Amino acid sequence: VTFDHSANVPEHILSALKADGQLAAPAGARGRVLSRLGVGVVAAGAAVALPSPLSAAVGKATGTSVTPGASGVFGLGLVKTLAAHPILSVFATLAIGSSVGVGAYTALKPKPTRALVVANVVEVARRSAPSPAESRIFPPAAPTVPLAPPTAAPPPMPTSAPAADELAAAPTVEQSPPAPSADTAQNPEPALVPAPDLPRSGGARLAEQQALLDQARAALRRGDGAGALAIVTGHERLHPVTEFAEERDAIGILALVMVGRADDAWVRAEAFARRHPTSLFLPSIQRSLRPRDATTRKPEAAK
Amino acid sequence: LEALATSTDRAVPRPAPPTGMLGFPEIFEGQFDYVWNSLRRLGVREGDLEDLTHDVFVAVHRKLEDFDPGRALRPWLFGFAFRRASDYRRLARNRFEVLEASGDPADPSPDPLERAIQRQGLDLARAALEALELGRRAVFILHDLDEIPMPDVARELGIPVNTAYSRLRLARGELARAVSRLQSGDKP
Repeated sequence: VTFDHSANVPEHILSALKADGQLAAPAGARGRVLSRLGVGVVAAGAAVALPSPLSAAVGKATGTSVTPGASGVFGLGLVKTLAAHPILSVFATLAIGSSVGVGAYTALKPKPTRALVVANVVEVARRSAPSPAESRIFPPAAPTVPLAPPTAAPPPMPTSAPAADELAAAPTVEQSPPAPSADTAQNPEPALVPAPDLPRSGGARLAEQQALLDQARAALRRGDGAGALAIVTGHERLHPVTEFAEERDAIGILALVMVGRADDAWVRAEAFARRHPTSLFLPSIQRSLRPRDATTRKPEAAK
Repeated sequence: LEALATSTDRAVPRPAPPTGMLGFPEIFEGQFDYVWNSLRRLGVREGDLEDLTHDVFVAVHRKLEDFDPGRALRPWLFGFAFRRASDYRRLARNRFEVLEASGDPADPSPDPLERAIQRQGLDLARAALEALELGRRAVFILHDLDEIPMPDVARELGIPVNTAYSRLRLARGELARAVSRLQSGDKP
């Protein structure tokens, strides 16, 4: 007996929720819970695969009824342990992608503790920094996200907000990248159909691009990472060189995170940090790459 | 506690649990995130997750000998999380609005990419999930998200299979409705 598995829950909601369940707990949480459980429970197994600094910290911490805020108990040992954590180390590599990035980031978000952790982790991260391989994130062929042929696409809405709102309610299939029709309609000479980016960016073209990116944002907003990714990929192909690269790349990273391609997102984010070291989006991207719960720890730690 | 802490230095070996395969340390290491996420999905507030995860593992440790190695580990753990989360939510002070829970008051940054696009749109999915009554939500999480076979779902939650199916059906309907409601009425 098979049971109707899909019912009417939107597929992208299902996949968003599934990806949500794959998140790592905040970096320090495991250690703190471990310390509260007490080594009597956990370390008794002798051959536990615990990082040794953590075990040492546990030994110290058990006597003092550790509260979630008391991360100081773990001291440097835990910081080192955290550095070995893939998420944190990527967070760090992201920040040191260029030294300017660190400066801009800490300037934007004057949170001493976080900056300190970044600084502490830098050494480790430098060693483990992966080489950028952007091509594997948005492969030129992009076989999994079929894009509608440019000519078949409807012209984008002239203004961004209505388009985004409409699309938010529309089914995902609707999201084909708009053709360069806004431009071609005004141009007397027939433009080439695939329309590579024109050297000059007219107002219409800019609005068109913005509308496209607004659609991508709307897709993200309703949890449709795959849809957002498709739009971003389409935009990338239509406008390889664009003033919107920063925004587009940022959306692309968030979309990758949403569809569960965290590794790709990290690589991409690293490249982003190099290319836009002072981007206002950088902190948001960094946050999205970390376990989302991590933010709940910082208020008390920041003082 | 002092004694407990120092005793670890001697690392007293403890007999392996009768499962013969899974010791508590392995379960803790391997399933910490799963337990954490399960509790979160079951509506435990971020600030309470550490406490409840701790509680779950204490209970798991206590019951470890009852674990039948023929069973899948995760649904079994989920059962602990579910019971903990139920108790937690039964307390009046823990009934709360969750739609705003992911807001980050300590970080009032205005737009940067719309606060990372409302935390990547997951907020919507999470809010919809949060709309489900806990018993139904548990079935939905185990079956549709964790992809656990229905008989196992029913067994770990301690309900008849038919009840589980019925809850699943209701949960899916509720979830779909919640999604469209949130999508249509969602203005920040």
